[in-house]
Amino acid sequence: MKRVIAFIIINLILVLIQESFLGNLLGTFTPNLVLAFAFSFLILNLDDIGFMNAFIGGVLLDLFGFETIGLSSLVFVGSLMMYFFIRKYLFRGWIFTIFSSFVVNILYLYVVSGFSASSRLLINSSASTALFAMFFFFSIRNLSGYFDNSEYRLKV
Amino acid sequence: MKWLIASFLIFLLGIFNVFAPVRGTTQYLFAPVQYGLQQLAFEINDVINFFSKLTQIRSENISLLEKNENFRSELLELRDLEEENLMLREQLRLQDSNNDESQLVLAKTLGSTAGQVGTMMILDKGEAYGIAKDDIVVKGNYLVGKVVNVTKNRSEVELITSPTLVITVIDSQTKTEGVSKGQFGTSMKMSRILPSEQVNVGDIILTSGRDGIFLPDLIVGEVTDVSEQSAEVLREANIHSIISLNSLRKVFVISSK
Repeated sequence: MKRVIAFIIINLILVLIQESFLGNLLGTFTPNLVLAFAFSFLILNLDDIGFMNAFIGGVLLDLFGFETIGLSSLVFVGSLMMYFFIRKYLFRGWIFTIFSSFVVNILYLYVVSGFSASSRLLINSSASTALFAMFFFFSIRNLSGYFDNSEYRLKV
Repeated sequence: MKWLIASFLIFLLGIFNVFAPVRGTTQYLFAPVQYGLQQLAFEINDVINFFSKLTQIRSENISLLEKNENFRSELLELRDLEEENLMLREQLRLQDSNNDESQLVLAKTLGSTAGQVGTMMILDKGEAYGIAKDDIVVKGNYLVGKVVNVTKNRSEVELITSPTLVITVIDSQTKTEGVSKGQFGTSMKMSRILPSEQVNVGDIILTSGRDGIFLPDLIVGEVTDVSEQSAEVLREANIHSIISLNSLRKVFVISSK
């Protein structure tokens, strides 16, 4: 339960930053922090946590937006499931995961914009998302390594 | 799979606007936070724009300074051209009045040969422009000298103040004739003045044309001193050039070709 609340808070912060801060600062390069955060757990092979973050983040994104609530989480979770099966039977590795985050974000933007997003927005935003996925991956790995080595153990 | 099912259920409920009150409340509660983050983003953008425009302004400033320098340079060239234009007009006007069919060549002075300051002058045009030996060099209606050496792109001019240049002259006021010879590159001396003839201080001395070398009625100089009448048969008068021969920048060569 504590874990769920923690991830709700983290995703809430990510949504607020993504919607109100980065959107005005980076323009078309605004990353999908929620998706990047979810994918970073997949790179760490923490699939269940990744799916949970995709679900929570998607719902929160819809709460602060104007799309049908549940659409974003449906797209995120559905895409992650497809990625999960491809990874299980075909490709593996973090490069494939990063590439998948790029593709999933394009799909998400395309769906949310009503299939009318500009190619520049799709590419710029998805590239930023992939970069942030890598950033979150390294950050979480280093942080979990720190907690593993210290007195305070974070049960993931 | 559980997350997919949960998402699908929520999506279905969302289609029927079940979560509308939740959305409204959430957006209302977090509006100040979103506003604060947005303002922060705007301020950061302003700072970035300020510094980026600073560079742009600096570049524009440098570009404007360069353009200003170019314009100044062009202005100087235009003034130069204007001066040349006036000189040409004046010279052509004089040429027309003399009914002379000779060709005028505008040349710039390049100084003098070593040790010949005041007696010789070098011009930046030569045979390539039709200048030949013995061509007359003038500025306006003033006689400057005679071309003594020519190469393809250079000419050497012997000035009227050269001790080896002899010119037949005439006093424009008294019509007294004589011969002018340079005096060590500073002035000239008019000699062979008959005792019965009059030459006064301030008289303008012109070329007479009798030597067949220099065109007539070109100004040689002004009388500054006349020797006292004495038992000598012939008198002399000192002449100074009205124009400063050592500071000429441009002259005309009357080319006979």
